[in-house]
Amino acid sequence: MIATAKKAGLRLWVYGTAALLTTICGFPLAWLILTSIKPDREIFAAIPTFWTDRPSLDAYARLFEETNYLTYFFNSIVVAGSATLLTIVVATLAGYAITRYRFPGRETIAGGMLLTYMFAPIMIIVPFFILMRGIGLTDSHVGLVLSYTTFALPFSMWLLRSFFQSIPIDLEHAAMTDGASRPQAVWYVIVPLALPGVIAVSIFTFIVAWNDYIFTFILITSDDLKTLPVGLFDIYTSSVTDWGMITAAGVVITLPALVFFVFVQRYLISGWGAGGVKG
Amino acid sequence: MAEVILEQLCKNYGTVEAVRDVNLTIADGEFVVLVGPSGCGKSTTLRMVAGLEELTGGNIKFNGQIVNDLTPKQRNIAMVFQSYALYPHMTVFKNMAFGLKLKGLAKDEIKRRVAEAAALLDISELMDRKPRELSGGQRQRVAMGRAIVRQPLVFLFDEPLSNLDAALRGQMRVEIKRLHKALATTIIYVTHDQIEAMTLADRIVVMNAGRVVQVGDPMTVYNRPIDKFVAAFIGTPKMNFLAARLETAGGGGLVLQLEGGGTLPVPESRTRAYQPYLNKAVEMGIRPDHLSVDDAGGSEPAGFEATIDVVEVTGAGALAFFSFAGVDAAAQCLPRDTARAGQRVLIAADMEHMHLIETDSGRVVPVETA
Repeated sequence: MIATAKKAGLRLWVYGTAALLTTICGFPLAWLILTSIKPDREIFAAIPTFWTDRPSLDAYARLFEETNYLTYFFNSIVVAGSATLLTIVVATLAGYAITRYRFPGRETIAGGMLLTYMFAPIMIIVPFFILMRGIGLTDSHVGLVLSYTTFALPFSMWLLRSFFQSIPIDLEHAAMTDGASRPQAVWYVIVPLALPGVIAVSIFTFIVAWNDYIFTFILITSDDLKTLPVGLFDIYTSSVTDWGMITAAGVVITLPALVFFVFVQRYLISGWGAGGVKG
Repeated sequence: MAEVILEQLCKNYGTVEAVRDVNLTIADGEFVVLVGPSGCGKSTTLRMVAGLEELTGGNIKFNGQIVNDLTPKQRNIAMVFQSYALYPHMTVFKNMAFGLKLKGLAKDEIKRRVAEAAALLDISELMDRKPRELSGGQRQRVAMGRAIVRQPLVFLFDEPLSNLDAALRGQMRVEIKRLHKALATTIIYVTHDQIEAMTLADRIVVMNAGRVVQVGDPMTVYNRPIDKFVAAFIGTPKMNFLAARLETAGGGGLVLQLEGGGTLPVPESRTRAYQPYLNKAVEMGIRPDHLSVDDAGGSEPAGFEATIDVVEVTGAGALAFFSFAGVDAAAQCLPRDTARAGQRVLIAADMEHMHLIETDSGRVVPVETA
């Protein structure tokens, strides 16, 4: 009986703590969403209310009709999506090569990858801009995609390398003696086993690209090519501060990242590794 | 089905010579076992045949065609790994079908072949399971099934039973032998376990330090080892090696004067072969099977005296261990002799089965067979 009571107490404590943390993290998001559907009068009420009796999507209508936000939204999707795909492809190939091939300077390159990750992008933004201008990639999505890929790659390669290292080489050899070419062995056997790593890389890169402000701000000048963070800032700094619209914009910028994460996080659960080779 | 020829096969890792000058012709349908202690180059040799290791020198031929530069895929081999190497994210069926799918076979054909192999290996009920849900023995069967379905030119086994417990190992040995009978495909099998080599092989290839030491059918290798290494490596319990001196006996024959005391007559048939070693220090090799703790105490027994340290009962028989001139040795005895540990006894030697070994080179002096 005492043991059961103890267990119940522990459970209460765990759930209580979890609930508290969730509230702390979730409250700003809830407040953002609620504010975006409130009428203006309620937003500016002296005594703020949590719920609203008259929810409306007016702010969203204004956002999409009066601003270029929908264009920014699609730009963000295209740029973040492309950067994610490109990073996955390059990081997978590079991570594989640096794990499986023997060549002089392999360890130095592996160490160097991590070193480059330690530079904050802001430190090299000016030379980066000059480089991009030199090759004519300023004010283009290609330039943006390459920028995000550049900064996401070191960490992504490092992460995937450790995943590849944990996959027994026998599996790859088995696939090859089973009649697979090396690319086929990688595609059918290695990549599926490194899937949690690939997913982690995709989340990381997507967030980097989706949230970026500074690169778009420096590299993009045309309004048609801007992404959400810069677009949001433009709305914020426009003549009249429309809080309803800003919160609606905030919701629009948050939701895709949230949906993306919810969609891929279940693949993060590992546990496939066991059983293929002995033990 | 293929004849496999290895010609002057070499493999270096930097300055380390892993495999040196291996020459071997494996007939179509033959079961050849490469055996040797760990690090002897047997696995490296197998992996070169598989196409997983590049050659430093020499040639590998399948049916007369040089395959040195072909990828594993192009060589049409199938390999079973010690670690099983099953694809953990695929079911048993998908594991077995993987190679066939890559070949682009029709679905029905794949199903038929997998079902056939599964029936042969008695794993038909496991088709929907993932490797992690299988026992070690089941995983090993699936790994073999995956090899069988491909109908390859050559099967390569890399210590496939080393991770199984003793009982299962014995059972799987029989099954592998049965499979070879059924499929009649060339098999190259690597193991460090000389019992596996003895029981499975049509021919044994004993390797040491990257070289092939001896090739022959199991009984030849067992009865007529080429040198002390093979003599010691093949056979359980291990062969005894006793230091001795070859001398003339009264009647023109030869005797071995053992360093630890005792005189053993050399069979007459060997007099000519052993003559050059007269009055030289040599070693006598003799298996425990051919030494026995002698009760009879008949007149002039061919034997020597020793004190028994331990008697190990195996069931049907027993082994008496003793130390002789500083060397550990064993002789067979009866299970009831357990009580005689600590006693001084006469050990009788069946000298027809002795080997004379050159002390410096370790070479076993060959004798003409009757």
